[in-house]
Amino acid sequence: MQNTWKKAAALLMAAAMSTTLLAGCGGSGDSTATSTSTGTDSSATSETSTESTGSYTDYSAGFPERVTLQIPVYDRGFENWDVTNNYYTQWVQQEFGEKYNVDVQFVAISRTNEVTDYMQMIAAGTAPDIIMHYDMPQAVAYYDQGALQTIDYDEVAFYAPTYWEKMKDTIETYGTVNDDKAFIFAERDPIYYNYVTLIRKDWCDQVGMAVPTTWEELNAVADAWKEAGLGTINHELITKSFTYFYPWIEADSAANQEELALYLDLNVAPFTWSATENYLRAMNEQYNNGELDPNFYLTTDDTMEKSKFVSGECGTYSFYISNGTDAISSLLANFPDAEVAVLNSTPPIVADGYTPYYYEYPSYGMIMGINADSTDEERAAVYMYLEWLSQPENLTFMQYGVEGETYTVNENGINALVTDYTGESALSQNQNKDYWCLVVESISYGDEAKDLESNKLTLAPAGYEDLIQQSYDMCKANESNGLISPIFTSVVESSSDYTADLTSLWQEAYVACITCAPEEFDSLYAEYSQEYLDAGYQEILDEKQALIDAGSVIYPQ
Amino acid sequence: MPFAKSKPAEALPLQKKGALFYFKRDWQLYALMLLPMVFIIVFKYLAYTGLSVSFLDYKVARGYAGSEFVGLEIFEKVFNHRDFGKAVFNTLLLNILDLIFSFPMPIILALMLNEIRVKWFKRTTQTLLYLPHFLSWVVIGATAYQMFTTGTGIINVLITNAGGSDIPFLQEDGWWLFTYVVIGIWQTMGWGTIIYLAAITNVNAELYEAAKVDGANRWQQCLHVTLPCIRSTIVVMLIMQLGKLMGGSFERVLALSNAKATEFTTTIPVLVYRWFQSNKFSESTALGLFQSVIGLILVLVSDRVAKKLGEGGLL
Repeated sequence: MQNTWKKAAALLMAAAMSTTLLAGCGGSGDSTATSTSTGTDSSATSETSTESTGSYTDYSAGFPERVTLQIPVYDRGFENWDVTNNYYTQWVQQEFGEKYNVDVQFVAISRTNEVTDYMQMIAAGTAPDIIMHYDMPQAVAYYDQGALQTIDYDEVAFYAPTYWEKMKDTIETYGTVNDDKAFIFAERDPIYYNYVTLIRKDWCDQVGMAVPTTWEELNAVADAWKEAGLGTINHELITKSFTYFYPWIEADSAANQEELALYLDLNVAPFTWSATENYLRAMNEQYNNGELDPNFYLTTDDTMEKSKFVSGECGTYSFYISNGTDAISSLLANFPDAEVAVLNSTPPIVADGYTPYYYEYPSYGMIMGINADSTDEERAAVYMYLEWLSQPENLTFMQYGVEGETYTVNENGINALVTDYTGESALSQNQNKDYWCLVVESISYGDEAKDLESNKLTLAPAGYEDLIQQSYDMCKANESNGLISPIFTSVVESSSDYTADLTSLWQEAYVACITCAPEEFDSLYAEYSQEYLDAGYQEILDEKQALIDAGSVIYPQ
Repeated sequence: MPFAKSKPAEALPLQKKGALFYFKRDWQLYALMLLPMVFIIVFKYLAYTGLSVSFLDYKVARGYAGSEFVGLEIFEKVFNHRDFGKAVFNTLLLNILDLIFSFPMPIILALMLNEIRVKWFKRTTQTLLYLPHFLSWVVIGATAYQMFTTGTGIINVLITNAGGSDIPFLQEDGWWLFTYVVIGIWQTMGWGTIIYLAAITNVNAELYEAAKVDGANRWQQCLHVTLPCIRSTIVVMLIMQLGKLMGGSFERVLALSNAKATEFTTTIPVLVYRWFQSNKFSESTALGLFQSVIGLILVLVSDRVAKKLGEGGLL
């Protein structure tokens, strides 16, 4: 009898486990099926929505059946912060979700691995209703993968009138790819003075020199540092977001919009462009004079760059400053007499004869597409959520939290964060930005002086507000030197084909050109230029040129 | 009672029984085996369907069925890629160097360990030798840079303090290759000895005694008794190693590579990773498939050769 029981139990267990396993497989099979079918679905949707007559169901009283809305949120790995379930996500559910009968689910997207995360979710059919990215080429890549559905502007206007009113010009200008209405955007009123390069002022004083204001002065200071046995100029290996060449663009190139369209690209380094040659030549000189960190190519991330600054190995450090940074406090812990000043902000330091051009953001922030899998109700819910989030009272709550707890309002009407607040309504380390970045990119009072005052509180560690002022002044003085990248309205196919290979070759080539002996520079640069062209850059340039000739480019006004 | 039924059957071994009979008799065992079988089928065989990506112009949102079939176009593209030849060469180079230098090390080490007579010393040495195996390549890579970087690395500081000049262990192509191989030896040799030590314990003690009687010294015993007795183990290990000739450790190259010494760091796995990261799923799958097929061929060929040479082989 006992044996029979044992056998029965064994069989039951084996069966149960096998079923679970099979059920798991079944699930994934289903999702593949869904994602496959959506390919055709989305094109069907696009046809109907472009012919839409403008009659939309009004859900302002709530959806008749509960709708699940999946909103992506960047997970930056902040300690003690659950991106998908916290005070603010619960507040969204309570204020927005319950009102409209929507189940708002936040989907974490790893900030450092976002494209892979998105791609996997798209392949599995589990991507959130919004598919987003900060840069246009990658957003276009999602479109190219067939992951987005066509957007009906009338529908956006119907469900999100406030949002549409604010963003319609931007959307109508930039939202189209290959004649498909693919994207909607968040507003961007950019600030540039949160990016700074700090320099050891005490070292400058020690060698009896002023804080440098030009490339030549910087090199002279670094020379003096070398003589005095101090550190070198810091440099983080450039592997993405290529903007290194802006200070080396020649004036006639900057004035030539076609040339800019051809070469400005955050994803592909314009290795063969004159600006890159100028840059590399100057860096080569700096390296060979011993002014640059000799192991710069081993500095592969911000943490390493910071540690070289903090440990006194290097005298400069470039980063996005915020009041939470430990760069200055760690430096002072190691060198109590250390002093820092701003060497440059977003407008870079330039050599004689050059203009401090800088990467100017386009008028949009986050680029969003609607998941091809999303149903009509889910799409409506997305727009309604954007509308709801655009309301000033909701936005302020998401940005600042609860008055009296997470922030106080000072006599000038500026919201000052209570930085040591740790209660349940505490904000995330970047002030909940990853929730409200869907509608605006930065916090603004609509008044520059007020914004500056507010930013001094949020950007500078206590006692270092002057750094923000210095940075602001530098940006202000060079405001007119921003270059906005022209946008292609068609997919540059070869770009996605070759980006990975070119990025890999770029690292090799640029490090080789900087570290070679000065007399070898010309031949090495020519050699690598040819290799770079052969590796796919020529094809990208040809394709871009064809698009330029066909007029498929929007030039900034 | 089922057992009562099965007993008479065993008493009549000459009678041939059908599959059903055995299934009925041992159904509990089959039931237990079901789970591992399902696991293997699902995760080892069904996964092969993913290889179809290498014949498609695969777009994630469209899935397998929605993506366009392009035949061998992807393979053509991969084989014509400018980094393909370099990747194949580097993969072979790194693995052949490993084969030459890393493969014999555990054997030599095992023979040496076998000769140690002080038990506690042998044990301690073994444990210390195993340790590197448990470190991840990320940790080893970071540590290597701490130690070997010019200017600030501990080893180079020691060298310069002793009056020498910086050695770019990881920052120049030739040196990089040397350091790569040496670190590989250090990481794998201890762990590799386990299997050889096990084989050595199986050597018949009488053989040593006979050798001693014949006047063989320890060196000769080692050469003429121990080595021949573990030869089949060595051959099996060699076949397995040959199968990896086109593979190789991806993490090891990635953890030790930098933007300066790049001559030997483009290998097949690195290329697969690079393409996968930029969503070129078809290309990376095709390259991975190519690598696996070559790996399989190498295993089969070396197994055949081993058998021709009179060894047991693997398959």
